[in-house]
Amino acid sequence: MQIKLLIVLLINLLILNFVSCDEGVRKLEAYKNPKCNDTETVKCDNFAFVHIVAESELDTIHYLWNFQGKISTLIAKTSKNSTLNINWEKFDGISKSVNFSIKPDYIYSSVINSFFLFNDTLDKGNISDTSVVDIIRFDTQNLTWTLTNITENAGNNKVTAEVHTATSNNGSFTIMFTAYGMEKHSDELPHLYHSSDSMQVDLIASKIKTNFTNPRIAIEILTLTKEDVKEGDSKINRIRNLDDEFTPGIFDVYHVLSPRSINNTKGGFIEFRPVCYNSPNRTVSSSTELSFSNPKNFDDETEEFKNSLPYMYFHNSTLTHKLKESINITFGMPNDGFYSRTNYISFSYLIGLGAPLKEGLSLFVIIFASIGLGVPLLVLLVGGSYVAVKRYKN
Amino acid sequence: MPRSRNSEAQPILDHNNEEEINGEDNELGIEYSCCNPGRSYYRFIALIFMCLVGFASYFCYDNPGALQDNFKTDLDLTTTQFAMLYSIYSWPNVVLCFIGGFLIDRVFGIRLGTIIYMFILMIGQLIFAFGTTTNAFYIMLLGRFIFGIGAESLAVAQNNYAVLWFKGKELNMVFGLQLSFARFGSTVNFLVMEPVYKYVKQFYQGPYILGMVLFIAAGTCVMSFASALILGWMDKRAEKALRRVNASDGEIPRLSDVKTFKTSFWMVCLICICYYVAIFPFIALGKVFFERKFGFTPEEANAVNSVIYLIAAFASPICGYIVDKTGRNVMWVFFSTVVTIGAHAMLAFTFVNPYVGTITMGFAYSMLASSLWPLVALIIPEYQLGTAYGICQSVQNLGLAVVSMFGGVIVDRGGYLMLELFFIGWLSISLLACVIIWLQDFNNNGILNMSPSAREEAAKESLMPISINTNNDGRSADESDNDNGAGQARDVRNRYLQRIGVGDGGNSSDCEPLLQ
Repeated sequence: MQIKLLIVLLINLLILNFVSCDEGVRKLEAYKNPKCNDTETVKCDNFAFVHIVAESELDTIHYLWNFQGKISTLIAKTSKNSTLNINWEKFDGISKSVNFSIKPDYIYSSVINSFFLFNDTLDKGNISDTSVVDIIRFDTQNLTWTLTNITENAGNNKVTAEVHTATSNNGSFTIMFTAYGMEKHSDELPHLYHSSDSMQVDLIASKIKTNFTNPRIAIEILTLTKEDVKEGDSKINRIRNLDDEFTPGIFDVYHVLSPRSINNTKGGFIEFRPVCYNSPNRTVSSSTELSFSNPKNFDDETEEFKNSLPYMYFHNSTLTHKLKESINITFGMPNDGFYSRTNYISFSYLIGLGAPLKEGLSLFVIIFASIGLGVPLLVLLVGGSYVAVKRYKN
Repeated sequence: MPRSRNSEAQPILDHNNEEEINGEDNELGIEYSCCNPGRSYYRFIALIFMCLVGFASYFCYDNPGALQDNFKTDLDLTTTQFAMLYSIYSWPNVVLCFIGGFLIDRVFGIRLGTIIYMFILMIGQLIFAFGTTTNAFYIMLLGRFIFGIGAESLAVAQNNYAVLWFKGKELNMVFGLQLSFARFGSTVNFLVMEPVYKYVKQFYQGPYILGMVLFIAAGTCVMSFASALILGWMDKRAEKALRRVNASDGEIPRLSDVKTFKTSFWMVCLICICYYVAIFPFIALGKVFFERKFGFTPEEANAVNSVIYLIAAFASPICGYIVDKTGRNVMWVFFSTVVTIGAHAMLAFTFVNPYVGTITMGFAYSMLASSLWPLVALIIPEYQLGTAYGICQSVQNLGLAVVSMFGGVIVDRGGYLMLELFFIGWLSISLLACVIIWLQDFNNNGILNMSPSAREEAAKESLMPISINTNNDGRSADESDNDNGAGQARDVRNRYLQRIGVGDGGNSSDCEPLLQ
């Protein structure tokens, strides 16, 4: 009986050890419009806000997703047991309507400011090119978004929220935010490698109607971080990998690192691979490349950020001193037949805290490579010694 | 899909000399002139026609490739349908080359065989053009199918012609030139078809444009067909004038002979599969790899990709010459394979400028082609060579068809690094096969890996009344596999001597046109 108990204890210890060793695992809980009660002035159905609490042994990450007004996200890392407070009466676009019970160690927020449809007359694949004149802008706050889906996947330890907006002629933009509780490659191409400190954004622009002869889609992403503007600018790092096992055909990863993330691991980042897909079925042959601008400092602090989470969290006066930047990403590359080829573009990127995960060669590749290169060596050795022995005997 | 492989076979060595022939010519009372079948001029005129016979095949094969976008838009073909235009060509030839080669050995003979295969090829191209004009996809497929039957067997016939006319002379150079000409045909196609399409577009619309363009391309088939006829006539004339005996000394090739083919021949076949699948499918998938991994523009990627063929085009005759002078074919095959593994590894595991990798691969590929194909002629008796080369080509087609199919899937699922590893894996198998040949040869008399002078030496020794061509078991290399009775020992020795290029006159000739 005692032995049995001991074994059970040992097993429990082992399991506990295993779990506690794995600091990268977080427990996810999702709430829609948390603690919102209908009153005369507040109609909770009007909000499309999602709060994810990602708790680990050591700390808590709050993912705030707002799908109303400008589509925006705010990620805050706090010590454990912090709570989120929202003043729902003032929530709609007023500063300081969102706060945490414990002051966050770090905050990284990002706004999907606009989608652009432009005429790429000279097929440059870049909205910033001087030849681009005709641009239609879809400001995300002017589109009507419907929160279609919040799915919690306990098995994969992730939560996804999806919003959708219809444009004329069956066209639509779709945006998905996914928070993860563990380190893994995401299920779909480009299989970005996320930690439990990062979330993924998926964008789809489908059947957007246009009269342009050479239409392309682009987006503008704004970022606002806890760093003071004096701390310097964000930097784009290009990492070249030998291994394209997880994103076939794509060897590069780009990291947009906030100043603190450049120096140590306490900042935040955006990570993407230079690939987007022109078909719902993401494959190598349905992939095309993209181009992007360097992060640009944003001077007009209030106007563009109004109606977004960073504005609701930071005070007007604080906003002035924070590092605010914008990045443009254009989907497609020269000679790929433009957006009109399939009238579909999808793109994924990660937003995360700390430093981006490093990807090494996978075990499978290492084993396969050792066999592939080892067999010839072995053959050389065995064959050589056989011949040598035979010669010697003769 | 590249098809240069067909013309790379380079059997038999270089021992007989020009004077011998000319001396015989004088005995025959034939004058010296370019029309004299014994003269080298005559041979080189024949060489021009030999190259021209293959031109249409290479030119028309890549017609769809050169007009890929037009095929897809004008005829509304999906990528899968488009790919089928090529796979319907490859798959049947997994079996048909072998049969085609055997039929040359046994039924048609070389002249009629060439003309028949060329005719089939031409009909295939015409049907393809007709199907395109009427935008009937299945007729197009039928056309490509028939075209493929003709083209691949024609390549076997071309090999045999080269052996027939140039064995013991400039054979390696000839095969090199044929390979160069094949590349030339393919390149001309890629350069010319687009302008032709634009020109035809002024007069026609819809599927008619492509149809007309393909009918125009069929003009090359007419030219090649005429070349086949002329070549046949020249060959007949040479045969009469030089009293060439075509029948081998009573030996009739049978399909069942295949069972008696040696292990080393099957290892050569294995190399045919494993080596080439690491070259052609790589080139087919390479363009995007160079764009994505090394950031090349599509034009730059095409350039670095085509370097392999470019080098093959000019290096093959040179490599052939080197192998001719140094012998040691097995060592060269081994060396080429190792270098190719290195080139692939460099492309896979480094960011070194890919030109280094592809140029290295180009040379290794040329060297392998020059040293591997002659091995077949050293292993297999001449009267079965058509069948043997047919088998090589068949298994090669099989490998290429299967691997091309899987290549795309591997890229989609596992990426280009995995694809490179896949290729390196195949090359490792190829290396194993090469080592088996080497060890087996080492255990016998080592003829496959001798220098030319050593081969001559070995041949002279075996001319002694008591055969020295025996291994430790007291059985000849041929016997140990063929299991011939003692009475056939002389035949065996004769065949062996032929193979190493030292005939003992008299009854040895299988099909040596200019040596009677």
